[in-house]
Amino acid sequence: MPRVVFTANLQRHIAAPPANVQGRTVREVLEFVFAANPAVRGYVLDESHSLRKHIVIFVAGEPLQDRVHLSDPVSEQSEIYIMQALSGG
Amino acid sequence: MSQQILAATRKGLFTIAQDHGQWTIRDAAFLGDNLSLVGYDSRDSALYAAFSHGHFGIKLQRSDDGGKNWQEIAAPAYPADIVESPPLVDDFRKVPIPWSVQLIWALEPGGSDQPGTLWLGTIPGGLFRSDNRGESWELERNRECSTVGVWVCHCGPPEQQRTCLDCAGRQR
Repeated sequence: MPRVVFTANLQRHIAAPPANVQGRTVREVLEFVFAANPAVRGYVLDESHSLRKHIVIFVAGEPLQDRVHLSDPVSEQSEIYIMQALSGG
Repeated sequence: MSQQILAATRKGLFTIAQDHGQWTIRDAAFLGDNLSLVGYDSRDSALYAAFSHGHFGIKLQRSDDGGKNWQEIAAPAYPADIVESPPLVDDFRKVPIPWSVQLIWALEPGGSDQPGTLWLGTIPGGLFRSDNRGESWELERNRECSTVGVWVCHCGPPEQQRTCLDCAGRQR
Protein backbone atom coordinates (compact mmCIF):
# COMPACT_ATOMS: atom_id res chain seq x y z
CA MET A 1 0.00 0.00 0.00
CA PRO A 2 1.36 3.49 -0.78
CA ARG A 3 2.63 5.35 2.25
CA VAL A 4 2.03 9.07 2.77
CA VAL A 5 4.41 11.06 4.96
CA PHE A 6 4.07 14.73 5.87
CA THR A 7 6.87 17.11 6.76
CA ALA A 8 7.50 17.65 10.46
CA ASN A 9 6.91 21.38 9.86
CA LEU A 10 3.26 20.67 9.21
CA GLN A 11 2.96 18.97 12.59
CA ARG A 12 3.52 22.38 14.23
CA HIS A 13 0.07 23.34 12.99
CA ILE A 14 -1.93 20.17 12.72
CA ALA A 15 -1.60 16.45 13.41
CA ALA A 16 -0.76 14.68 10.18
CA PRO A 17 0.69 11.26 10.97
CA PRO A 18 2.05 8.94 8.28
CA ALA A 19 -0.61 6.82 6.65
CA ASN A 20 -0.78 3.72 4.49
CA VAL A 21 -3.68 4.16 2.12
CA GLN A 22 -5.07 2.89 -1.15
CA GLY A 23 -4.87 4.62 -4.49
CA ARG A 24 -3.39 4.47 -7.96
CA THR A 25 -2.61 8.18 -8.30
CA VAL A 26 -1.47 10.88 -5.93
CA ARG A 27 -4.98 12.36 -6.05
CA GLU A 28 -6.61 9.10 -5.04
CA VAL A 29 -4.13 8.52 -2.26
CA LEU A 30 -4.58 12.02 -0.86
CA GLU A 31 -8.36 11.75 -0.97
CA PHE A 32 -8.11 8.73 1.33
CA VAL A 33 -5.90 10.71 3.68
CA PHE A 34 -8.26 13.69 3.67
CA ALA A 35 -11.28 11.49 4.26
CA ALA A 36 -9.71 10.32 7.51
CA ASN A 37 -8.23 13.71 8.42
CA PRO A 38 -10.23 16.48 6.69
CA ALA A 39 -8.42 19.40 8.28
CA VAL A 40 -5.20 18.52 6.45
CA ARG A 41 -6.72 19.24 3.03
CA GLY A 42 -6.48 23.02 3.31
CA TYR A 43 -2.83 22.82 4.25
CA VAL A 44 -1.93 20.89 1.10
CA LEU A 45 -4.46 21.97 -1.57
CA ASP A 46 -5.87 25.35 -2.51
CA GLU A 47 -9.43 26.38 -3.44
CA SER A 48 -9.09 24.86 -6.90
CA HIS A 49 -8.00 21.53 -5.40
CA SER A 50 -4.54 21.98 -6.89
CA LEU A 51 -1.35 21.66 -4.92
CA ARG A 52 -0.60 24.83 -2.98
CA LYS A 53 1.95 27.04 -4.65
CA HIS A 54 4.59 26.53 -2.00
CA ILE A 55 4.07 22.83 -1.35
CA VAL A 56 5.95 20.04 -3.10
CA ILE A 57 5.28 16.33 -3.29
CA PHE A 58 7.81 13.64 -4.04
CA VAL A 59 6.67 10.24 -5.23
CA ALA A 60 9.34 7.60 -4.66
CA GLY A 61 11.89 10.38 -4.64
CA GLU A 62 10.70 12.07 -7.83
CA PRO A 63 8.97 15.45 -7.83
CA LEU A 64 5.27 15.50 -8.69
CA GLN A 65 4.69 16.40 -12.34
CA ASP A 66 0.97 17.21 -12.36
CA ARG A 67 0.42 19.85 -9.70
CA VAL A 68 -3.12 20.60 -10.91
CA HIS A 69 -4.79 17.19 -11.19
CA LEU A 70 -2.28 15.20 -9.12
CA SER A 71 -2.54 12.42 -11.67
CA ASP A 72 0.98 11.05 -11.17
CA PRO A 73 0.77 7.28 -10.70
CA VAL A 74 1.80 5.58 -7.49
CA SER A 75 2.66 1.95 -6.85
CA GLU A 76 2.07 -0.28 -3.88
CA GLN A 77 5.61 0.46 -2.71
CA SER A 78 5.55 4.22 -3.28
CA GLU A 79 6.29 6.67 -0.54
CA ILE A 80 4.55 10.02 -1.13
CA TYR A 81 6.40 12.70 0.76
CA ILE A 82 4.68 16.07 1.26
CA MET A 83 6.72 19.05 2.33
CA GLN A 84 7.09 22.78 1.96
CA ALA A 85 8.93 24.10 -1.09
CA LEU A 86 12.03 26.20 -0.83
CA SER A 87 11.04 29.51 -2.33
CA GLY A 88 11.63 33.20 -1.98
CA GLY A 89 14.84 35.16 -2.11
CA MET B 1 -8.78 44.38 34.99
CA SER B 2 -5.65 46.07 33.73
CA GLN B 3 -5.52 47.37 30.21
CA GLN B 4 -3.90 45.17 27.61
CA ILE B 5 -3.11 45.25 23.93
CA LEU B 6 -3.06 42.24 21.65
CA ALA B 7 -0.56 42.68 18.85
CA ALA B 8 -0.64 40.39 15.82
CA THR B 9 2.76 40.40 14.14
CA ARG B 10 4.71 38.46 11.55
CA LYS B 11 6.48 36.72 14.42
CA GLY B 12 3.60 35.79 16.66
CA LEU B 13 0.82 37.12 18.89
CA PHE B 14 1.87 39.27 21.80
CA THR B 15 -0.11 40.42 24.83
CA ILE B 16 1.17 43.76 26.04
CA ALA B 17 -0.13 44.88 29.43
CA GLN B 18 0.30 47.77 31.79
CA ASP B 19 2.28 46.93 34.89
CA HIS B 20 2.98 49.70 37.41
CA GLY B 21 2.54 52.29 34.70
CA GLN B 22 4.76 50.58 32.17
CA TRP B 23 3.75 48.57 29.15
CA THR B 24 5.44 45.19 29.01
CA ILE B 25 4.97 42.00 27.04
CA ARG B 26 3.01 39.71 29.32
CA ASP B 27 2.51 36.76 27.03
CA ALA B 28 3.39 35.44 23.60
CA ALA B 29 1.72 32.81 21.46
CA PHE B 30 2.27 31.31 18.02
CA LEU B 31 5.93 32.33 18.09
CA GLY B 32 7.36 32.42 14.59
CA ASP B 33 3.97 32.39 12.87
CA ASN B 34 2.79 35.21 10.63
CA LEU B 35 -0.46 36.70 11.93
CA SER B 36 -2.32 39.22 9.81
CA LEU B 37 -4.74 40.26 12.56
CA VAL B 38 -6.22 39.49 15.94
CA GLY B 39 -9.82 40.36 16.72
CA TYR B 40 -11.97 40.56 19.83
CA ASP B 41 -15.70 39.96 19.93
CA SER B 42 -17.12 41.85 22.90
CA ARG B 43 -20.41 39.97 22.63
CA ASP B 44 -18.94 36.70 23.85
CA SER B 45 -15.31 37.63 24.67
CA ALA B 46 -13.98 35.37 21.93
CA LEU B 47 -10.60 36.10 20.36
CA TYR B 48 -9.84 35.41 16.72
CA ALA B 49 -6.39 35.11 15.18
CA ALA B 50 -5.78 35.10 11.43
CA PHE B 51 -2.66 33.51 10.00
CA SER B 52 -0.86 33.72 6.72
CA HIS B 53 1.32 30.64 6.68
CA GLY B 54 3.61 31.07 3.74
CA HIS B 55 3.48 27.44 2.68
CA PHE B 56 0.22 26.22 4.12
CA GLY B 57 -2.14 29.08 3.31
CA ILE B 58 -4.35 31.30 5.40
CA LYS B 59 -5.89 29.95 8.57
CA LEU B 60 -8.09 31.11 11.45
CA GLN B 61 -8.16 30.18 15.11
CA ARG B 62 -10.53 31.10 17.92
CA SER B 63 -10.01 31.25 21.68
CA ASP B 64 -12.89 31.18 24.14
CA ASP B 65 -10.74 31.58 27.26
CA GLY B 66 -8.84 34.78 26.67
CA GLY B 67 -6.03 33.24 24.66
CA LYS B 68 -5.09 30.32 26.89
CA ASN B 69 -6.30 27.76 24.37
CA TRP B 70 -6.94 28.09 20.67
CA GLN B 71 -8.75 25.92 18.19
CA GLU B 72 -8.63 26.09 14.43
CA ILE B 73 -11.84 27.10 12.72
CA ALA B 74 -12.78 27.31 9.06
CA ALA B 75 -10.86 29.62 6.77
CA PRO B 76 -12.72 31.57 4.06
CA ALA B 77 -12.41 30.22 0.54
CA TYR B 78 -13.87 31.29 -2.78
CA PRO B 79 -16.70 28.99 -3.90
CA ALA B 80 -16.23 26.63 -6.83
CA ASP B 81 -18.14 28.68 -9.39
CA ILE B 82 -15.85 31.65 -8.80
CA VAL B 83 -12.69 29.56 -8.70
CA GLU B 84 -13.66 28.06 -12.04
CA SER B 85 -14.48 31.42 -13.63
CA PRO B 86 -11.90 33.36 -15.67
CA PRO B 87 -9.59 35.36 -13.43
CA LEU B 88 -9.92 39.11 -13.21
CA VAL B 89 -6.93 41.18 -14.18
CA ASP B 90 -5.27 43.61 -11.80
CA ASP B 91 -5.73 46.96 -13.53
CA PHE B 92 -2.50 48.33 -12.16
CA ARG B 93 -0.12 45.40 -12.53
CA LYS B 94 -1.84 43.80 -15.52
CA VAL B 95 -1.57 40.35 -14.00
CA PRO B 96 -4.35 37.84 -13.23
CA ILE B 97 -5.82 37.96 -9.74
CA PRO B 98 -5.77 34.40 -8.40
CA TRP B 99 -9.03 33.04 -7.00
CA SER B 100 -7.28 32.02 -3.85
CA VAL B 101 -7.51 33.86 -0.56
CA GLN B 102 -4.07 35.28 0.13
CA LEU B 103 -4.73 37.24 3.30
CA ILE B 104 -7.38 37.95 5.91
CA TRP B 105 -7.31 41.69 6.15
CA ALA B 106 -10.26 42.63 8.32
CA LEU B 107 -12.52 40.91 10.84
CA GLU B 108 -15.53 42.50 12.49
CA PRO B 109 -18.25 41.04 14.70
CA GLY B 110 -21.86 41.54 13.74
CA GLY B 111 -24.21 43.57 15.87
CA SER B 112 -25.72 42.66 19.20
CA ASP B 113 -28.79 41.48 17.31
CA GLN B 114 -26.66 39.08 15.22
CA PRO B 115 -25.19 36.58 17.68
CA GLY B 116 -22.51 34.46 16.06
CA THR B 117 -22.23 36.66 13.00
CA LEU B 118 -18.77 37.69 11.84
CA TRP B 119 -17.55 39.54 8.76
CA LEU B 120 -14.20 39.00 7.08
CA GLY B 121 -12.45 41.02 4.43
CA THR B 122 -9.82 39.29 2.34
CA ILE B 123 -7.22 39.79 -0.36
CA PRO B 124 -8.01 39.26 -3.21
CA GLY B 125 -11.06 41.33 -2.42
CA GLY B 126 -13.87 39.35 -0.88
CA LEU B 127 -16.38 39.91 1.91
CA PHE B 128 -17.24 36.73 3.80
CA ARG B 129 -19.94 36.18 6.40
CA SER B 130 -20.20 33.58 9.14
CA ASP B 131 -23.28 33.03 11.27
CA ASN B 132 -21.69 30.40 13.51
CA ARG B 133 -18.60 32.06 14.99
CA GLY B 134 -16.36 31.10 12.13
CA GLU B 135 -17.24 27.42 11.83
CA SER B 136 -18.12 28.13 8.19
CA TRP B 137 -17.94 31.11 5.84
CA GLU B 138 -19.96 32.23 2.87
CA LEU B 139 -18.93 34.76 0.27
CA GLU B 140 -21.22 37.77 0.40
CA ARG B 141 -22.25 38.26 -3.22
CA ASN B 142 -25.26 40.51 -3.16
CA ARG B 143 -24.12 43.69 -1.57
CA GLU B 144 -23.18 46.57 -3.76
CA CYS B 145 -20.03 47.13 -1.78
CA SER B 146 -18.77 43.57 -2.10
CA THR B 147 -16.88 43.88 -5.35
CA VAL B 148 -15.39 40.44 -5.46
CA GLY B 149 -11.78 40.36 -6.48
CA VAL B 150 -11.01 43.94 -7.26
CA TRP B 151 -11.36 46.24 -4.28
CA VAL B 152 -7.74 45.84 -3.36
CA CYS B 153 -6.82 47.31 -6.72
CA HIS B 154 -9.12 50.29 -6.72
CA CYS B 155 -9.77 51.40 -3.21
CA GLY B 156 -7.07 50.29 -0.83
CA PRO B 157 -8.04 47.49 1.48
CA PRO B 158 -8.47 48.96 4.97
CA GLU B 159 -10.65 51.93 4.11
CA GLN B 160 -12.74 50.10 1.58
CA GLN B 161 -13.26 47.06 3.70
CA ARG B 162 -14.19 49.15 6.72
CA THR B 163 -16.83 50.79 4.58
CA CYS B 164 -18.08 47.40 3.51
CA LEU B 165 -18.33 46.11 7.02
CA ASP B 166 -20.36 49.12 8.02
CA CYS B 167 -22.73 48.90 5.10
CA ALA B 168 -23.21 45.19 5.75
CA GLY B 169 -25.77 46.14 8.36
CA ARG B 170 -23.79 46.04 11.54
CA GLN B 171 -25.80 47.47 14.41
CA ARG B 172 -23.79 49.82 16.59
